[in-house]
Amino acid sequence: MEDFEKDIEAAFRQAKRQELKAMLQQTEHEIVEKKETIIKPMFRWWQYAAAACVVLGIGFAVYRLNLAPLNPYHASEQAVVPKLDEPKTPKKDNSPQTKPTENPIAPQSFTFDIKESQSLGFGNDQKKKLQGDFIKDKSLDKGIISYKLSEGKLTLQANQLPKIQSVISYNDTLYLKINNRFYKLIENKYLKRLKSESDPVVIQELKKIDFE
Amino acid sequence: MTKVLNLSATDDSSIVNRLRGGEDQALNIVYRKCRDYCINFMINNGADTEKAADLFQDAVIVFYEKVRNKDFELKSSIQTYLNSICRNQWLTHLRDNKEVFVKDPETFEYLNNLTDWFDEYEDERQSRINKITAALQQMEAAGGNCKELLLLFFYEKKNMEEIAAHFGYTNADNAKAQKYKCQERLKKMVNA
Repeated sequence: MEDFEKDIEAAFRQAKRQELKAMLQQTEHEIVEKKETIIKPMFRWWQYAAAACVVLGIGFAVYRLNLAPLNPYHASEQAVVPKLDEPKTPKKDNSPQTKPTENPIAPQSFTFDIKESQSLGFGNDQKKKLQGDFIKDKSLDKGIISYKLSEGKLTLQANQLPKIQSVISYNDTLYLKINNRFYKLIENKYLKRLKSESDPVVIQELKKIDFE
Repeated sequence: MTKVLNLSATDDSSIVNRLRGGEDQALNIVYRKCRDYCINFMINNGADTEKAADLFQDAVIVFYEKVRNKDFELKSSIQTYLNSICRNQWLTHLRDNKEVFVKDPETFEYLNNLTDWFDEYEDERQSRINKITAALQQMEAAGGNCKELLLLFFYEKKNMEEIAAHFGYTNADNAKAQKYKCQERLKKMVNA
């Protein structure tokens, strides 16, 4: 076969190879496209990371919000819920002096001495008064617990000092009257949530003493 | 466009018969069937996906050319045959890019004896081939049977009897005469 014939053969072979190559490249393209459609994940790794951050953020926020019920404002019905907007004039003159808090949301501690009432009259020996101004107890700031009563000192912790209407001694137990409800004070060294008295007989007696 | 492939005839012998019968689309079946194994082999040996696909396409074309040769007999499965082509292709690629260094003389000799399946021609010859390709395209555009006749003779390796039967010539001599005319015409076009 002369050179020209060999060149003709090579020309046909090259043309055919190009034609087949184009066909196979098209097939490869189709395969890759199909695989990408199947394998391609809906989200990339950084999108999962971002989603995880959002979930963690929401979780943390919910966790923080769940602390709120410990705060007296959000506590159960039995806890002290002082009204912030309409401070009432105390019925008796034995309510402590109050100072406005700098931050109404941040819980603060208020400490009082409980002393015998100086007033005269029947049944007054059962009434007590809270002596002096509040003392901010910084060590208690982190806890959001309602009260502690130890060695004649009452420490209340709240976002804002509630209006205490009276302190009553009944059956050797002290009761705080706040918002016309009576809260039993139990001697304790640690902060405890205030719980309103639910016994109707005791409430009746306390009302009598308070009235007198 | 949807391509319908006859998947019932995907066993190796059927594919070979279809390719020999001129059904080039059967090559797509080979491609889809054997692709993953060959490409993964090359990727596992350091090829990137694109290069592996390119070499595999060449391997399939080599297979095609072998199958179209009447003397060729496939003694293994198509997959095994393609695997061996891919392996050689990849080793040749590594050798040519000096990415493989061997001390063992046997391996060295083996690698040196590897040849590219698609040898590139020197510039002068490639230039002549390009002229012929252009002339064949002109010939096809002009109409007539010349290009097809030359294709049957030079690429499909048909003998004169087969060519005569294909075009309805009375005998092989007529086909031979016709082939001579076409070849001379092509030579003129190339030298013009």
